[in-house]
Amino acid sequence: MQPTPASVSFDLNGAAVSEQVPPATLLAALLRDRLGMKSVRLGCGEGVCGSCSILVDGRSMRSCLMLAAQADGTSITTVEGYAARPDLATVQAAFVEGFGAQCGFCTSGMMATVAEYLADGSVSDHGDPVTIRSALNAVACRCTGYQQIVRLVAGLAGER
Amino acid sequence: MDAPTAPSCRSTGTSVRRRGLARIVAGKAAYVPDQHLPGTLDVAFARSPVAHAHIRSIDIGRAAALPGVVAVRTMRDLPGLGSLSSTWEVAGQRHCPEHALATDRLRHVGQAFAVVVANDRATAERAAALVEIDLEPLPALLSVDAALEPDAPRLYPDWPDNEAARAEWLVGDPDAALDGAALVVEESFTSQRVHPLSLETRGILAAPDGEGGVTLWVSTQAPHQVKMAVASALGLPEHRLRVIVPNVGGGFGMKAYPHADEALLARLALDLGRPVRWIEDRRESFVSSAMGRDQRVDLRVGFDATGRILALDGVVTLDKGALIGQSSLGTAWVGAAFLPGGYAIPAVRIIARAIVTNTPQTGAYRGYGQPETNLALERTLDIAADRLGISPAEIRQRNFIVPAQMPHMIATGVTLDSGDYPRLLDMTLERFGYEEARARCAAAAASPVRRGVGIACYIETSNMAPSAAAAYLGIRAGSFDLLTIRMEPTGHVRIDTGQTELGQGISITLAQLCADELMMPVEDVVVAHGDTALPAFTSYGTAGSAGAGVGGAAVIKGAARLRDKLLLWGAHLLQLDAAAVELASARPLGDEGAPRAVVRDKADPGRQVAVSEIARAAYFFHSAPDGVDPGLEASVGYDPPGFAISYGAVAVEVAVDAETGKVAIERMTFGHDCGRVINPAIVEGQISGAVAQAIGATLYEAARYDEEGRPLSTSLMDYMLPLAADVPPIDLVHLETPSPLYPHGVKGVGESGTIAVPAAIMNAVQHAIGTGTTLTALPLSAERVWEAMRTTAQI
Repeated sequence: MQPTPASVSFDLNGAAVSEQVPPATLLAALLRDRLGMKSVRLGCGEGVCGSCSILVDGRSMRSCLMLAAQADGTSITTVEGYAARPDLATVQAAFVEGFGAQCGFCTSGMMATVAEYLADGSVSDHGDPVTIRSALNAVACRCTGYQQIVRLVAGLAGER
Repeated sequence: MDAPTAPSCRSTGTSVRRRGLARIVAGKAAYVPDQHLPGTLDVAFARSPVAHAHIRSIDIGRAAALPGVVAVRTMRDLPGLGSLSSTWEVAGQRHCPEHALATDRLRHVGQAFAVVVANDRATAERAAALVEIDLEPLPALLSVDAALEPDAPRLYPDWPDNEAARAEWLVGDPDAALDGAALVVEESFTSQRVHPLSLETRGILAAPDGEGGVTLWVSTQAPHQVKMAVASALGLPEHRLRVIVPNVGGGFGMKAYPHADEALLARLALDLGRPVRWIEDRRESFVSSAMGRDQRVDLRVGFDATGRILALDGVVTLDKGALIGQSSLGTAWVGAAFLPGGYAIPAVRIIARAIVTNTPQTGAYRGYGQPETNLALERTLDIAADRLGISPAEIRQRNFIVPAQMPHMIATGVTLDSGDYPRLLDMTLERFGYEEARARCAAAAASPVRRGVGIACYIETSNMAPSAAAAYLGIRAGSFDLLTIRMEPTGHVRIDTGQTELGQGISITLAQLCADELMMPVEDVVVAHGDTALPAFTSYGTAGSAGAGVGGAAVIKGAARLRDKLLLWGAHLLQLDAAAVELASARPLGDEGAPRAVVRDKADPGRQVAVSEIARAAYFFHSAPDGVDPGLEASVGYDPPGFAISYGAVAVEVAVDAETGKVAIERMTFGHDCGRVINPAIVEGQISGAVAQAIGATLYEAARYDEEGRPLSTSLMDYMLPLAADVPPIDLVHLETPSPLYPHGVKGVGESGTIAVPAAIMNAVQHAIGTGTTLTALPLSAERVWEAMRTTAQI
């Protein structure tokens, strides 16, 4: 017996999306496999590595730990939608200019984490390297050693 | 080393933006899991639940009956699938063919014994769990010590024991020298097993081409080696195979060799006539990909009273796991050959040996044996310095090979090509503030947070030996690069390289070298890679820190060949002798535009023809210089002349919580010399990335097994990767001594960051906690450090 499909509607990168999914469908699977958002990368599938993090109502969330149904009524931004948002396009440009990625597998999650950090009003000094490193702890990067990412985030903080 | 003439648009030496980043930040990078072909079937494996057993029978009946399952195969059902043989094959090496699926025995937990092909992955996994296997358990050997017991059962019944391979070096009379030494330090140093753990796991998509051939998309560093291995295992001629490497989500050596499952997927695609795909999941990556490190170095080093090394006697023992695999003894061999480091050691005996055990196989991982032996010698130097009452910096200075001795062949036969080891150590310590830091640490000796400073020096092999020497080392591959450089009719250049872009930035590095040789803007050069259908070939994969060195030297050679053609054409169009013209970078006459490459009259530089005009003429070919082929293309091969030896010095300051043993790395100064730097930001990224991996392997990471040989780490929840706050800011100190062996002076840098960091940290922790208990084993978990402090306190 098939379970009753769940109806999920959300805003994805500025466009309304409505989907019928099996209730156990993960948000990562819906975004990647059905909606073509291949920037959502699966590094561990259990919420540790952060490669699949996306922006849900401006907060970085691990899409491999969210059911698709939990996204109902939210506004989701994946990397595919960054170019249309000036604040996020700035983050993209900084990663390019600042050598913020090597293999690129964690980069989507890393950029979502950086975007959330820069918008976090509770942080008193966004340019403090210790605070930056603490925020970046949300995503594992195996290539860069974080040094150039920390530097580019400090640069972004200085521009604000 | 300067380029022949300095172009005004010179790009080498500057941090030119990396290729491919725009695609990555836009989410458009495509890895193997992003490749989609209609009708693709998914693959899953049935894997061994035990570490060692004889297979009585396998029953695929229930699995095959599951709706959605297309095929279930064991090795018995795959007569058209051969095995892989080792890439490293040293004299006297034993043999164990590498099969994709177990034949008669299971030799480690997680070894695949059946493969399921289904309409989707979930069905394939459900069916894999239904494959039934009847086993006769055998005793499991879970450590090299158990495997080396005289009466130990053998993993391979036709071998006399469990030693897979061995190599030995003997120079001078180390026993006599040790007998006469004022001090002998004798310790065993252990580097634990770790997982290279690229964030993208391994992945394979294989599709029949409809004409008897197969195209594979593989997450690999070595597409040409994969093609060769698959062709050999399937009995297919190589021109029927094509291997494409899309974006790769990290390799680190783990993807440097072919795998038997790549041949299996190709076989299944041909047999079923449909595309088949396997994306390794995170859990199975702990049993289906080669692990790293897991070496012990038993070392005796003799010193005179002033701290000079008289002799070194060492045994490097590698736990190979259950398979000789592609790298065989390789990591132990390289570790042993580079064990003497940059120090003058007159008498040496080293044995390197690889032992098989009932654990998943170990293989290549960034550093390739060098961090393990570096740990042993650099710890030994600190231990000796303490016992002799001299400083760690001084004992190194007293033993360094100095620039006047370069090039210098060390006892193991490795030739150090160039460098100034004493100066780089001095520069590093000065930047670090070594003496002040040591004084500061002494003041914290009794405080709740102990402080320590540690240093370690390294040499790093790079750029590979000549192919003839690779044969001598027992490597069944060459070391060379073939590539093609083509100037398009618009005057823009395309390089086809066999090197693989893994995010390390090889594309922009090669483009920069080519642009300078041809005096062009770097934007006018593109680099194509990752496809065996390109007219290019890399004979040892993108590994061994050889991409910029060997791949780059091949670019220089090809660009020079193309430049000669441009000069012939330019002279023809200017109606001059070829000897009367030169290649130059010049602004268009009467124009403020960007500089462009021109061929001009040496005597009258205003008389010139743009390279773009030459290109058009070469592709029209209406009027050509004598004896010149149409088009503008150069295909060249470049065989490396010898190892280029990078080197460096690392200084760290650590804080150790006296109550918990937790180690925090507060800061690091990293001095290095990788010869000429092509792109500083890429060099920095290579070092800081490798340093982070080394910090992980020094403090957190460990692949452990229980008493039955079952892996205890099977996810990122229990295998701890270093995060941003675990890595200190890294202060880089650069020294550039171009390698005299290479036309561009480049030495490799990809592995530098991994080598001396573990020893530097261990030396620092030892300094912090005092020398009562000698630290010798990694990782320096809080538990291990706390235990050492407690033992010291009781003494």
